[in-house]
Amino acid sequence: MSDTLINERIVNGLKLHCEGDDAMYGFLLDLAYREAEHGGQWRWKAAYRQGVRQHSAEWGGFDED
Amino acid sequence: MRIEKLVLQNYRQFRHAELDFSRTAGNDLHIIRGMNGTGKTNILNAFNWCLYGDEPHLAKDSQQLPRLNLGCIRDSDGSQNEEVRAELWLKTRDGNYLVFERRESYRVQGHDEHPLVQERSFEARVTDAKGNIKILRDEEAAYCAERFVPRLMREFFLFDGERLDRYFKEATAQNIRHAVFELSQIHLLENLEQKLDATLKDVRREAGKASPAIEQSRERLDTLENRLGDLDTQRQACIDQVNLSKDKIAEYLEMLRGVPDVATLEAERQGLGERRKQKEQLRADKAAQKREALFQSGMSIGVWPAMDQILQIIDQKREDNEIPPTVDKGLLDSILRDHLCRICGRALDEESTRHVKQLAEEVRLSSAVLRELVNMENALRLRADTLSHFDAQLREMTSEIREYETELDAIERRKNEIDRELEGYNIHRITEWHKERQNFENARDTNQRKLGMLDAQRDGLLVQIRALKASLDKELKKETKLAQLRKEIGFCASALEVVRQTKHSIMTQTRREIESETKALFMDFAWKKETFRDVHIDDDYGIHLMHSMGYDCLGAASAAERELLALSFTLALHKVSGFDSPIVIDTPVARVSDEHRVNFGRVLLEVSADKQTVLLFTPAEYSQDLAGVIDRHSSNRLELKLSSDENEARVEVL
Amino acid sequence: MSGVVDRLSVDEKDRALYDRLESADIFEGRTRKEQFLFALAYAFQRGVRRPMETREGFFLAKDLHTEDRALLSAVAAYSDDSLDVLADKARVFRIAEEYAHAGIRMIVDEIESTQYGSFEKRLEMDFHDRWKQLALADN
Repeated sequence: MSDTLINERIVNGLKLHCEGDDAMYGFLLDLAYREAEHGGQWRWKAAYRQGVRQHSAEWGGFDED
Repeated sequence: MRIEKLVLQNYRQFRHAELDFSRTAGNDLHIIRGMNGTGKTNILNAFNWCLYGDEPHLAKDSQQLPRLNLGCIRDSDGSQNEEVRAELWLKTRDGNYLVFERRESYRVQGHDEHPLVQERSFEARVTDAKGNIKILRDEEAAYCAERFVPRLMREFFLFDGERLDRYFKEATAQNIRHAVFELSQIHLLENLEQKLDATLKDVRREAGKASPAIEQSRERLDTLENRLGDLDTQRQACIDQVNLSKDKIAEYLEMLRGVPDVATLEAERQGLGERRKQKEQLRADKAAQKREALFQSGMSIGVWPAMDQILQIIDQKREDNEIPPTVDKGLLDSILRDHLCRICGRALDEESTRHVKQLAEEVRLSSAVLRELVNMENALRLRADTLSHFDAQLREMTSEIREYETELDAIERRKNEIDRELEGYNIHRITEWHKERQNFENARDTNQRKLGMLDAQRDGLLVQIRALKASLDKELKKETKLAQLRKEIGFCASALEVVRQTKHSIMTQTRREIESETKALFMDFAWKKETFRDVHIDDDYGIHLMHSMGYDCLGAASAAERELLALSFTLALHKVSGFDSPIVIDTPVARVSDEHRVNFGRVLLEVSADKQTVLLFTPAEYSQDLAGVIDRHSSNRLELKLSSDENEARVEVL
Repeated sequence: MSGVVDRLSVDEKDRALYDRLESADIFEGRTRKEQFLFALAYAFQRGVRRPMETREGFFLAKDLHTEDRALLSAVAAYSDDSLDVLADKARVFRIAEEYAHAGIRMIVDEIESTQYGSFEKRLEMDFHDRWKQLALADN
């Protein structure tokens, strides 16, 4: 039986490709768990939008000028 | 996690059945034997129904039957509901139990009518280390089942042996990609990707409301990104078609290996037939010509002395100026008779009479004869002339006839060679194979060309999209009030990119792990270890079984070896997936030839050393040789037997 | 002998023999005239001539071409050892008929006593030998 909801590869893969961007990693991991829990069918629009709004504020990987 | 027992009540053939799968011997191997119709495949269906609520292996004739046992329907008086129940007991590695139970209650209306479902329930009872039982129902129970064996992956854990046989025959690359996809939970990342993409579009739309220029760029970008999505779908379809074509081409090449090039040989044979007709005609014509020459010259040869004599006489007469005749002897005779010159009309005197007599003496032959000689001359000279060339002419014609006969012999020999080569082959079928192979080669080439075009279009689109994004960003920068939205767009786009990269690298990583594991298992299991050198899954998910001589021999491998590869692949998926669940196979060796069944049986035995393995056999499949290898190592051996009215199956322990 | 003769005849019994000629390929499709002339030549070569017991018309004299007449006349002159016969058509024909009467019997006997297909071969050899004997090359 799988003890984790999400395949470890996904967790590691996201971490790797976020390249140290914790805000991004946190955001994506959160969404990944929600997707795994809900199996694709859930009220996701608001959650995604909220997540983007919230995490982008802390996000440093952006050219501000 | 392993299966401890399966309890069935009123489920199809099983009125009351309890199948024990506890481990009692060295190997965690469990054998269930039953003839067709005794419920063997419905055991597999029972696992599926209990965990997922469906029965993917239902035989055609069972699909019309109710799930409720027929004996139960017969015995029911309709006063109360009858229940179908399947209970699956699982034991975790730390000794805790997880029991799945699915129930369906029916109202029996009459013995000839289908009973009506009244209620359905599904629950999972989880027992923890302290002995506390937690009951999960419906969705929560389903989520539990997903953690045992995910529905999308169950075809790799609970399946019919035919699947092993067919796995590498149809759409291999697609099968492998699908397996990797399921295993990696790529659907999870794809959901993330889709929704992030939708969110990004929403944020852009929001920004577009603030400025027409932004809105215009956004709309255009949307359009291009949609087009890119369509292109990617088309590209994938093309790749799938190319891979399918390659698989089919390999399959046909294998079927045609050692088979003569029928189409070319048939064409040659036809050509030979036409040439033969031609040569036969020429020979017949020449033979007829020769016959004619023989006939005509033969006659001349036969009468040659007569011809020769006449010709000599004619020559002499010419020399003597008798031919053509200048004096009419008849005239002279009448002058002498009548003593009257017919020319001047005078009576002949003595001297004249003497002169005429002398003349008549000189002209010995009558003019009629001379005329006849003259008439004969040309014809006879022609015959004589023809005759002088007779021998040379005949030799030439004989030689030509011989040449034709030599050619005809050669044609006949070649025709016989072709017949021998083609003997025993179903020419029509082979020609069809060649045609099919050609069709697939054309399809492969067409799709590869199409792929090239799509790639070029894609590259162009990407350039446009990049430019548009830059342009959009530029527009956004101008609007200071949109700074936050711009940041959100940037963040969302970056998140999308991370998800895409993760998806790609996971697919690649998973593919490599499966490849490595498949190879290790196959090399370990294979009974002809020196024959194979490598197993390789390429970027397009094509699987290659490399011979020790260096070529891809998947097409040439026996059915048993292909099934072994499919089994190795399946077990590799188990390992890589992290789902340590049992494997249940219905008729695992039915399609394996007798000589390899024992080998395959040994492999399954080896598998069961570390993994619970449940195998369902027909008696025909479970030969004495196979039983000899497996029986003494198995933990449980059960036999299914049908009642005399065929409404119930019972389970006997062997 | 004189008189108008419009046909060449064969012995009644010979008709059946002429029908049997078809069994040899060399006679396939031949006219009666051609068969008759060949039989004549065959018998003349062997120096055999037989008077007929009965007579019945076989083919018309008008079917004879100039070269055929030349052949008949040469044979008649040679046989009678006199050119005078050339003026006597009836005699020429009678001589031809007697040679043909002898020839047809010999040919049929030859065909039917040899293996199928070998009559032509024997003819070819026979004609070749005779041709050499007569030293007919570039005659």
